[in-house]
Amino acid sequence: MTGATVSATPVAPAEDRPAGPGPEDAVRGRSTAPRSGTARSRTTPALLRLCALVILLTIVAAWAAAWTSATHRRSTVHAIGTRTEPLIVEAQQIHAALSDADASAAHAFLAGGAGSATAQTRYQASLSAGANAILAAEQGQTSPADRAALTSISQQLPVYAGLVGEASALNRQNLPLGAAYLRDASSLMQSTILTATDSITTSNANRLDRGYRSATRSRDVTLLLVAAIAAAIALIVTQALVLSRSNRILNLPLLVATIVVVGAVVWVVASFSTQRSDMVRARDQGFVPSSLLSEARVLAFRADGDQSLSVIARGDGAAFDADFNTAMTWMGFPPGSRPASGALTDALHAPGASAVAPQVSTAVSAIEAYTATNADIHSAVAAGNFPGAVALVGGPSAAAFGRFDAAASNALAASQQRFVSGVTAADHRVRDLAALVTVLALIAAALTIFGLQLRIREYR
Amino acid sequence: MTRRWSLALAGLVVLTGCASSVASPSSPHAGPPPSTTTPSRATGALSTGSTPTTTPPCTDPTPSWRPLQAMPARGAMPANTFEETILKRGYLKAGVSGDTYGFGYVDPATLQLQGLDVEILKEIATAIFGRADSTVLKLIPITIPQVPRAIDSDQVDIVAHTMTVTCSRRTQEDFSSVYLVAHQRLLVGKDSGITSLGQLAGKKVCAAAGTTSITNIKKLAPAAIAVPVASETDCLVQFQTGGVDAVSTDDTILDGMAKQDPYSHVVGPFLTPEPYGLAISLTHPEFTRFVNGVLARMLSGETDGTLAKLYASALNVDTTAVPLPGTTKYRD
Repeated sequence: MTGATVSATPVAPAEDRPAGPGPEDAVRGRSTAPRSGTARSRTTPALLRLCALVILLTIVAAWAAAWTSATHRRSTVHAIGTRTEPLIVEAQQIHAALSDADASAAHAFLAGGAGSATAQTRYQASLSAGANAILAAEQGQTSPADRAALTSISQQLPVYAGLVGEASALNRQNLPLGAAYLRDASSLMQSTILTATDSITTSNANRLDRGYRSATRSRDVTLLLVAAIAAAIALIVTQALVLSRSNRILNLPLLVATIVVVGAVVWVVASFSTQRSDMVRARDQGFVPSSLLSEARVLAFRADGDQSLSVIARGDGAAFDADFNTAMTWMGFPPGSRPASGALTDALHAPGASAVAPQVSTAVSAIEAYTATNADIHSAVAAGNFPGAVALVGGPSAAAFGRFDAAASNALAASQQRFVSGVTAADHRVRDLAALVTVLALIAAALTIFGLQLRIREYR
Repeated sequence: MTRRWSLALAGLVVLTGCASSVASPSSPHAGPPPSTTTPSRATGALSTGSTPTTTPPCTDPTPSWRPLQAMPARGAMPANTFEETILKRGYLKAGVSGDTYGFGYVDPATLQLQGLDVEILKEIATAIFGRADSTVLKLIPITIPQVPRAIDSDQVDIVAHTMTVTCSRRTQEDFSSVYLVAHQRLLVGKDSGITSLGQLAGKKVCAAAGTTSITNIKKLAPAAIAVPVASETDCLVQFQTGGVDAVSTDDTILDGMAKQDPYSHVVGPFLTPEPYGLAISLTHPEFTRFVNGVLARMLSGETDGTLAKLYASALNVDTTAVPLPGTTKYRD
């Protein structure tokens, strides 16, 4: 036991000092404790050394449990905060920006030459935003599958932009062939490019799932509690032993060591608990609503693109109308029936989304107005009134969509912010925990050795 | 996939005690994934929906009701006729294609329906009302599959939609006399040197899936690689982006494509004839006679815009290249 070599020279009170045999006698236990029998006093130092050993072993075990779980949680939460969560947000941004671009391209095409400036600007801006989000995602730590998906998107995007450009050029020459190019472009976007962003979202949602489970696993806490309770019991039993053998009322170093051990464990468990509730908050108030709102926005853009493409199809837009209805149904607004469960309606009723409920509520009423206008657009197309249909698409329909998008974007940004801040807070809870428990374990060990060394010396 | 996570999530949302794991945060929406394939256009196959004319009673579906000896004066239709009903109503309801270039399509600049079929409908409206503005001619975009129902339900009085007259269609609606006879031909690059089916060996030839055009290519040019797509217009996109070497469908449609792509032209033999007629309800034979009278004058050049001149103008071809019917066959 290294404790025996501690060079400190504690000065025990004179009346406690056992009567004078030399150090060579101490090992033989010849010294006599005041109110103890000779045989007992012979075994006490050995017993105390054993106690010290047990205490130190349990402290080391508790420290090991606390250190590994704190380190594990820290690295897992850190990975979520620096890798998974940014990639999810970036994938949402890519998906939204490219969906926006596709809908804007259809709007610009439908409006034709002069009227298309606004939609054309929005198309260019969305395409740039999508490209920037792709670059940001590529610079993060990505899995090979994510990287492959990002590469595929990067490769397809110029092809898409080329088709849209050709469609626009043909449209400006009054050649209806442009509509076929636009359909091709939209098909490429919806079926190939956006599917690739879906795969990134899916793989990172799965990764987040695993990270959450790993960062909050109960095994850590169980192991820690078992080791810490063992250390506390060893300390208390030793103190009782010291009390009974030496009449000492209090061994201050051992008492402090006990407080340090119990305090450290309480601190670690409390930190884990706070970290966990931060992550729960990040999920319920952040990830869940942001996923729903992100999906709702993407579906809305898809429906909006379908609306324009249906008018561009000049009476042959049944397939786009069907897709419009599908997107609306998935948002929670099945045509011809009451709102049901869907991305937007679920976001409105999500328990953690109460903070963004006013914006989501605005988004819901805007989308209902938008759907009502879509019926008018249908009537205009059915009557061959294309100028009227185009005016509705660019007028009340676009205005309602703008209200939806503003509200949904705000709610989405707020939810994404809660997601990010929750994960960051959880990271802070466990950031310095491993270092802290190491220092506290060293203090508790030193106090144990010091406290017992005082007693052992009395038997020399 | 998504649905499974949502179930996992639903089961794990409630969190108790700090020792339990936090539930899966994965995608919470129970719906299907947001991105799926954009719908391919449900195309109304233009003239290619012709069905075999082998039913014994119907060997030639083209003869239509003989026109009146003398056309009634404009604005004075004979009593108890459907044309009188239309005149009294104040407008003619006509179904047209919205996306068949040259025949019935929306001009991207004016957003108005126009083309040869629209011009023919204007002649009919003029014959009834003496004018053909938008107050007396209501044009309704329609697809070929919608035609029988639109006629039966009186949504439209007449349909002009590059429709091939077939025996099977004749059982559902009546047809006017034939105003054009299209033939399946080839659209190729002007510098391709291709002029016949024999030169298509190893070349990719595009046609709309499920049409007689693609069947004919497989049968008559087996060495060519047939590429089916959703609609003929997609063939021109493929042709321009290098995906295919040739497009094959009715020459009327190919003329519209060639007009949009100056580096292409229409070549090859004239394959199966596709006689085009206007669809009218079987219950108004007198109106069909009236329409046939208008068509007869357009074909003979008695009206201002003869059919050949209108076609040449709409499709940008020489008047001698217009696929007019030879002799018009009637029944009594």
